[in-house]
Order: sequence, then C-alpha cells, then structure tokens
Amino acid sequence: MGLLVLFLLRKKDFKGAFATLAFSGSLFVGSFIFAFSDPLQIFQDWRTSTHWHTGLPNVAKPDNQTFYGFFNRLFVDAKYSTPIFDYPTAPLLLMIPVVALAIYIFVYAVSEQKNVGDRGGPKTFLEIAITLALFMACGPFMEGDHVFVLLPGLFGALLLYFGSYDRRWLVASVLWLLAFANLFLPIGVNQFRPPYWPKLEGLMILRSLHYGLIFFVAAAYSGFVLHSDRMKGIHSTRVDGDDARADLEAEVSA
Amino acid sequence: MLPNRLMSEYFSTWRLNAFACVLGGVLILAGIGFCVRQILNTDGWPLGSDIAVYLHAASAVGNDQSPYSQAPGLDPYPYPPLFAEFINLITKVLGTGKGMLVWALSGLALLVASVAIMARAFSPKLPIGVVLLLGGIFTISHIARNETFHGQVKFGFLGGSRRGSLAARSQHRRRVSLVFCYRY
Repeated sequence: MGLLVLFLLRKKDFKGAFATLAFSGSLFVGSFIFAFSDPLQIFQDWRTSTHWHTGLPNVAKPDNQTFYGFFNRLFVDAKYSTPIFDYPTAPLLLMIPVVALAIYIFVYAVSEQKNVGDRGGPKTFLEIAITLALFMACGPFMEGDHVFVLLPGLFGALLLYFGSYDRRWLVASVLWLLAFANLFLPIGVNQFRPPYWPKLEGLMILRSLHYGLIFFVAAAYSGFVLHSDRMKGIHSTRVDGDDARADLEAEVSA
Repeated sequence: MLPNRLMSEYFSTWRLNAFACVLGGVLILAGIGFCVRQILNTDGWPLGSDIAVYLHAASAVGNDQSPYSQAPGLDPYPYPPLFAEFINLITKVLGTGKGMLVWALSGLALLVASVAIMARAFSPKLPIGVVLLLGGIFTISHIARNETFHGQVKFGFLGGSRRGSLAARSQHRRRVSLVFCYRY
C-alpha cells in the first residue's frame, strides 16, 4: 500500500494519495480498535510478527528473491547459506546503493505528468508495475507467488508493443516474459523448494537472486523506454488515438 | 478494436482464435481441476497450508485473543487483523471446509478476471482467444496451484488493482482510491 501511495504522490495525485492513505489507515487502525479489548497489545503482537517475517533468519530463506535476502545469504550465517564471510552489517550497507538506484529509476521512469489518453491503461499498468517491481526486488521479502501482482508490467509492455510496433517494447515484453517464465510452467522447477532447501554455498548463492534481478532489469528497461518516449514527445500512439476516438464517440452518442 | 495489422499478422483467422479459445478453456478447466485435486489429495487440508495460519488467526479474533499467537508448527500470522476478521466471517457463513475451498478457488477466478481486464478493457484489445489462452497458461502454472492451495491474497491484490484500473478508466478518482486501498 505504501508503494501505491508513493506512486500517487509521484503522479502529483495528492487527493488520491491522501484518500488511499486515510481510508486504508482507517481500516488498519479500526481492525485493531474495534475488534479487541486490548488493541495496543495486539498492535505490539503485529509488530513482532512483522519483524519475524522481515527479519533474520526468515529473510535469508532461499526463496526470498530480493536483494536484501541475497545480501543476507552472502554475508550472514543464518542457517540457509554458508556466507562468503560473516559481516551482519554488510546487507544494510549494500542496500543503500541498491535502494538509491531503485529510487533513481522510479523517478526517471514514472512521469509526474498524466499519461495522455491512457486513462489507467497500458502506460499506467507499466508505471505501477515498475514501482512495485523495483521496490519489491529490493526487499525485504518477496517469494514466488508475490510476483503475480507484477503481471500488469507484462500486459503494459505487450499492449504498448501492439499499439506501436516499436521493437523496444518487444524487448521489454520479452524481459517481462522471461521474468515470469517460471510462473508459466505447469510444474515447479525452482531449484530451491521447501522443505528441501539446500544450504547454499559459493556460486549457488548467486543463483538465489535471479528472479528478483530480472524483474528489476525488466522494470528498469521499461522505465528507460517510457522515459525515452516522453523525451521524444510520443504521447499519442495508436493506443491513445483509439481511446480519444472512443471518448469522442461516447460524447456524440450521449 | 484491434489494429488491422495485429489482426492480420497475429490472429488472422477466426479459426486460430477459436482454437486458442478452446485450448485456453481446456487449460483453465485443467488448472482448476489440478488445484481441486491437490486440495482433495491432501489429508486434512487446509492443515499444512497457509490457510491453517489464517484459520488459527480467525479463530483467535473470534475469541478476542491475539491473532498473532503462534500455533505449533505454523508461521506467525503476517497481516493486519482485518483479514483474519474477514476469514472469520467466511467460516461463520459457509463453514470452515466449504468456506476455505470457496476462498481458495475464488482466487483463480480473480486471476482470470484480471487477465481479461488487462487484455480487453483497454486498447488495443487482445482477441478473446489470447485472453483465454493466457488465462489458461497462468491458471495451470504450478505457482497458481501453490497460491490456491495456500489460499493467499495475491490474486486479491492483482484483482483489486485491475478493478482500480477500470475505475481509473472511467475517471472516477474517488472510486480508484477506495478500490486500491480496499485491496492493499
């Protein structure tokens, strides 16, 4: 939810961001206040549970495909890997440039301007998926089925390709397809499947990042093409033209 | 309306579209079948799945206890209490077994609906055959089966965000915000 608010703020949709924050905040707080006789204690329990899920050793599980999980497997002895050396501060230090890069790509890719004629369509699909993919890949926790929420990235890239036949969108579509390739298969081929998680060593630790990394790359590349289109002033593709025509027809018929 | 070039180059004949419809439909049905089979073949389901965690939390919420009290062999409940309250409501209305089966399978329906929204609600519209084919590929994927078995909420997130896109299309900002935060 925080990432969506970040997205809305970037789009300068302050009313939308405030409404999202206020309504979800009310639901969140209300579910503590009205359901329990001791809401403060339940809130503390929620914090403890959240810390369990986003802290060690849980984040070092091999199916946590984030940079944060990866750095923990590399530098922390947390039963799921043999670290190259034990330095528990390293993951946090290494996350600084990764998060900085994610923020840079986010600002570069997601325009402050409204996407003309898009009306929540392909470009918005992509912008939201880029936001989610960049920061989900950072961490602290993203495992297999979490990537379903990134499907709009694939559809955004595909629709923009079919709307423009620009090869760069074909490349973006292929990158998203590769990122989802494991999801498409009828059988699981993850090398790290619970409860048979091997203790990762050496180069095997490097393999424990590939899903997160390719989503990061797909999001960054799509962001690059979106930005490049904006710089060229490509706001009016066939996609937008169709929408504009539909708007006009609707107005006429009304 | 699909661009002519797309129509001619990629889905030039109605036969190809019809074939994709049939294949996609078969894959969707097979995907649902595999999910049901996995659930029915697991003794004591939802024990051993994440749904057991949610049911434990829902039961605690119903008794004014902390949903975060960890049961032996289960991970701690990870979400705010609202979701546990929702699961509690479902189990009260439909019963535990039927309620959880409906909950788990409704995720697949949300997945296919999300694919349909993304592929058909905006231009260019992809052909129905492509929608069913993609829906089938996603439904039969091992990870969709895993998601359904565990009754997680990712399909709900996806479905909610796509419903939000539809609301954005109609430029009802307030509705967009409400839909987004309802799901997230």
